[in-house]
Amino acid sequence: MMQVATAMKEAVGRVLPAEIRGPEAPGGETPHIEVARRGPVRVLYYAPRGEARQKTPIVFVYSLINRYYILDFLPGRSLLEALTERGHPCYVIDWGVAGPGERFKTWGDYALGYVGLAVRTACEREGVEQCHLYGYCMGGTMALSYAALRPERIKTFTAMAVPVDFHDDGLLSRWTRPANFDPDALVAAWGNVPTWLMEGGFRFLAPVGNVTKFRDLWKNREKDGFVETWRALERWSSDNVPFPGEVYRQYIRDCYQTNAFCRGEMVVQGEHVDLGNLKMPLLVVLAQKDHIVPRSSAAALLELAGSEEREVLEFPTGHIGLSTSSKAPVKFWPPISDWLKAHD
Amino acid sequence: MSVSKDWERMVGEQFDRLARSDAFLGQMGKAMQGSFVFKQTFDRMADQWLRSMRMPTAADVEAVHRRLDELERHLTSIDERLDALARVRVAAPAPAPASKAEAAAAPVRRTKKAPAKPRTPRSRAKAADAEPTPTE
Repeated sequence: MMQVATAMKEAVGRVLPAEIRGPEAPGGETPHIEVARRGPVRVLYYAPRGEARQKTPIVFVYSLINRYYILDFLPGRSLLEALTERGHPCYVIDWGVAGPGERFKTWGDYALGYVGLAVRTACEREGVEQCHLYGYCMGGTMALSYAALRPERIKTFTAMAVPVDFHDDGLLSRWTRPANFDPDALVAAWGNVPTWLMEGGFRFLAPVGNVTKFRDLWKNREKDGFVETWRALERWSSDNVPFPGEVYRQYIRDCYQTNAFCRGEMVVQGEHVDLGNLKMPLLVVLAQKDHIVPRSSAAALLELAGSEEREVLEFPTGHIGLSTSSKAPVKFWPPISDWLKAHD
Repeated sequence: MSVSKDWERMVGEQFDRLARSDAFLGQMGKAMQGSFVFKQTFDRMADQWLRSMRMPTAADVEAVHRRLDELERHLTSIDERLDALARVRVAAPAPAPASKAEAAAAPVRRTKKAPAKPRTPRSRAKAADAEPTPTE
């Protein structure tokens, strides 16, 4: 099945004009080094450049569904590049590709084990007590677990399109209701959730877009940078990785089906997660046209967190647009950086 | 242009209605459940066949993974405790002896001095900056 899909993709690639097909799509080009590793999980370091170096490092936790390099999308349109140029030392967790060894790893292994590893590594290397924790999408939900249970190492928390209230009006919430979906059976059958299953589900979220994107590509092919951006986005969105089985089971059961964060019932490795424990300054970044994490789901954190200082930045873009939009380097990221600098 | 946009919106709404309908979700749920049962049945048969050949099965490998996960969890908890200890030490450095006489009265500890470890530069970040090795 996968071989047929790959062969078809290659055949389509051969038919496309050379200016569209071109060489391998760029992405993830900001210089970085690996500073820690455990199994397939790596902690990457992006050194600050340009403006005065900030003291407090930022630790990024991205989703387990796609690859981290959406944070380093294209030269000139990369969140990591923009922040490092503004003097922020950045550390990013690359979850790698989950294999059989990740099948039984739990939410706690990821949220406390790997996020903890990244936080400790960043603090130790920078010689500081605390770091800024920056969660994006589902990675932010995991990072919230860590920040609530181990707040001593966290100076501020930035939640960018982080789902918190899972009983929203979104399609994902509807599809995963217990009456229609049994994550135990899925994980018992497949172990880690295969990429084709995840990818198929996400493509169905915006089915018309799967067709119209080709029309848009054709219409805008002469526009400066459009084809490059289109190809980079395609490359990233089709570069899915298997979702670790047990983490998926817990994520669907605890978050989508039980809505445990909102009900105050989330338990990680025997420890009760109370979002009221988040006392550090909180920045919530929302996307108004988000069809993956509805605005209300992400905004729920403002009600649940115990932080006295809470700020909201809201942008007229979609879920991925927060890290790939052409407006982002000018309009979205500078205020985020300014807020982090104010809390250095 | 506007016809195309109208078409997009209309088809999008239809898809959305379909994807939210109980009928669709019910059928999708049944189909997925059926495929999971089939896959599990197939895997069980493969396991039985491998066992009869005295070969390790997926279940055997999974048992090893579970043990490794337990060990990793244990390592993480040790890491966390060491980190907490280190922070406590930084926060409260050991007090110096009150007087020379007190210091002289203290029991002498004869410990072999360990050979000096190669020092990692304090500004490791800067050392790393010097030679970035792209890994992707």
